[in-house]
Amino acid sequence: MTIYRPTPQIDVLKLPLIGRLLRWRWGRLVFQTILLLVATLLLYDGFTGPQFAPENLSTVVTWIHYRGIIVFGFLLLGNIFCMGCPFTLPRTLAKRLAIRGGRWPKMLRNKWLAIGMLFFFFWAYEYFDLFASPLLTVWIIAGYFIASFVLEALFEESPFCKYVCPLGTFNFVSSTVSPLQITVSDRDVCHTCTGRECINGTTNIGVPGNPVKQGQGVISLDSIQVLGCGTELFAPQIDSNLDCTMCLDCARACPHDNVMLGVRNPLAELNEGVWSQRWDLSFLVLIFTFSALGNAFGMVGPVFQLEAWLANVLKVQDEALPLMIIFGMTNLILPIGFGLLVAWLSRTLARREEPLRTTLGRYAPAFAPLAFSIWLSHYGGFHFLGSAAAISPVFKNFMWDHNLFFLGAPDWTKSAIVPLNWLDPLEMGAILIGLIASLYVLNERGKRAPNRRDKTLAQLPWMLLLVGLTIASFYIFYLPMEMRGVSFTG
Amino acid sequence: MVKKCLILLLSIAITSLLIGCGGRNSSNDNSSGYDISIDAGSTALGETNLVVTVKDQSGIPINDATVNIKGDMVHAGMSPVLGESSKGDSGTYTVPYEWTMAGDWILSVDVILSDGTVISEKIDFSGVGGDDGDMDHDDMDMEDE
Repeated sequence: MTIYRPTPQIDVLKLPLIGRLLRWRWGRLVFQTILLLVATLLLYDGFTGPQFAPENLSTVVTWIHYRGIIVFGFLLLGNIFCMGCPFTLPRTLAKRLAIRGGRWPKMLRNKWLAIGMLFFFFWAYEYFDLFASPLLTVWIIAGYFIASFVLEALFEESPFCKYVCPLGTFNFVSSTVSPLQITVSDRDVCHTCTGRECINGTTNIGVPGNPVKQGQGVISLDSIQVLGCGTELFAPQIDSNLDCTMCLDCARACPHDNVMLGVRNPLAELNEGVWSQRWDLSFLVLIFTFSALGNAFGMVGPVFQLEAWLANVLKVQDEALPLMIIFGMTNLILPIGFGLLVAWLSRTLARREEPLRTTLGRYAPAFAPLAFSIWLSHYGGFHFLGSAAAISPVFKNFMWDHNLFFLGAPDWTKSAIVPLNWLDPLEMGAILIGLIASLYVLNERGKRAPNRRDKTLAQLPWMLLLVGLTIASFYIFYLPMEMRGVSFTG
Repeated sequence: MVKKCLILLLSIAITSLLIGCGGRNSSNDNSSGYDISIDAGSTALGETNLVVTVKDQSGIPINDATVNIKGDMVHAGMSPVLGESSKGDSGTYTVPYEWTMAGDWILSVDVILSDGTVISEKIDFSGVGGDDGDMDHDDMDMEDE
């Protein structure tokens, strides 16, 4: 088994202007400030503006632009939202208030809670019709600020990002197919590094740092008094974007200027990386994949018929339980059940004697490209390409509400940014590319199986599952959409 | 420095919220006493004619207004469907319209009176594109919100 160590040809941190901005001590603060201002605007409009989702900035920006921009961000760059996440802006303040010594409980130092939060988030999105409610949408945003601050204040590390945040969980898995990754330029430097500032930080925040001697000189002020990696990743050991918020604190903290943001083959991590073969990580990828279908399924006609049928059977009037059952099936039971079944078949066909967890862990990462492509089609294609221009009339309407008319009257016909008849081919094309990438990763991981490569027969159950998921996604995407938000007829 | 920046940013955020709570113009609020109702005819997917009835506070039909309709899905960002009619007969205006997607719609009706006064109303249409495409008349003929 080879350990994936990228050899980046390009270091984004060395690029003119953008590289300097990213490495600048306050570089992240710039992005966070911009997003904080956006968040403030959303909070303002959500609390005080029209409680009408298509005309409120909070719902339009959150459910159309945020989701669309981040998925294209993963495709072209990396985890750009977590990089500028405004929810972690109070982190430094929380650190000051922190009751020192608080470590995140050991039993929660895994992805099970994150999986639960992700599941709950998708369920809540449908149950509370968040997409139709500006007020609920901004309460979610406010809740994020509060939860992040509280957890940051109570615990030493950043448990909110790593173990709790459903957005972060979504972003972490998506960024495994991104072309950028944190790494180091010279591992020998790390071997002799005693301070390990990339993870420890340079000094206690607020205390003037002691400039670190480096070679012939003293390092620049840009790299002192900064926190280390919030999620406690050690830069030379990073072989995955999982858990990396791309905050670049590591790069700013490194006194040796040895951390780089390298450009890599987007599939390199999945092909060659040694993912920890943990149940939680494997199921996270599978649940992320099935949730892509479950989330899309929540917006087509049959789901409402199924809900109504379940409501009649269960004799309930509320949507909560039927929706919980449906999402529990599509987003939890099916991925876990299929994962175990297919892993068992694969192990049997490979004639291996190894824990099922190992077989599952070997192939689960292969689902990431297909999963991401389905999310990309849904969030980036259908919602963003199909609706992004709506920001123009909504913002103009917002200005008109405040007697600011210089932008002109809102033109409500603006919505799509590509011809609508392009969407289906683009979405289907993206999913097909995702399938091909997943099959490629599957084969590569089969080649790298320990002792001997897995034959195609051993990969066949995984292939069938990938193809089946693709067909299911095509079916769901071609079903007429139904935008329910106020009615449930149980 | 960091502390000052954080305090400044938090202050901006809190101040903005407080200012926001102070109020803003509110559109689509029909407090005029005019009665606006819609008869959709059919809520099956596809083209239809919306019949909008406009009466003043005394119940007298208004014929010389312009009626603009913007139909939105409840989900943010979906393309709205627009319709217009400027010819009233006994207070009714026929607006060509198309239900483009199944689900829950909200129709924003702007009635522009001859003196330029705009009366706005939002009317919910749930379950468009349902099984039979027939509307429950109670859902169509809605009084002021």
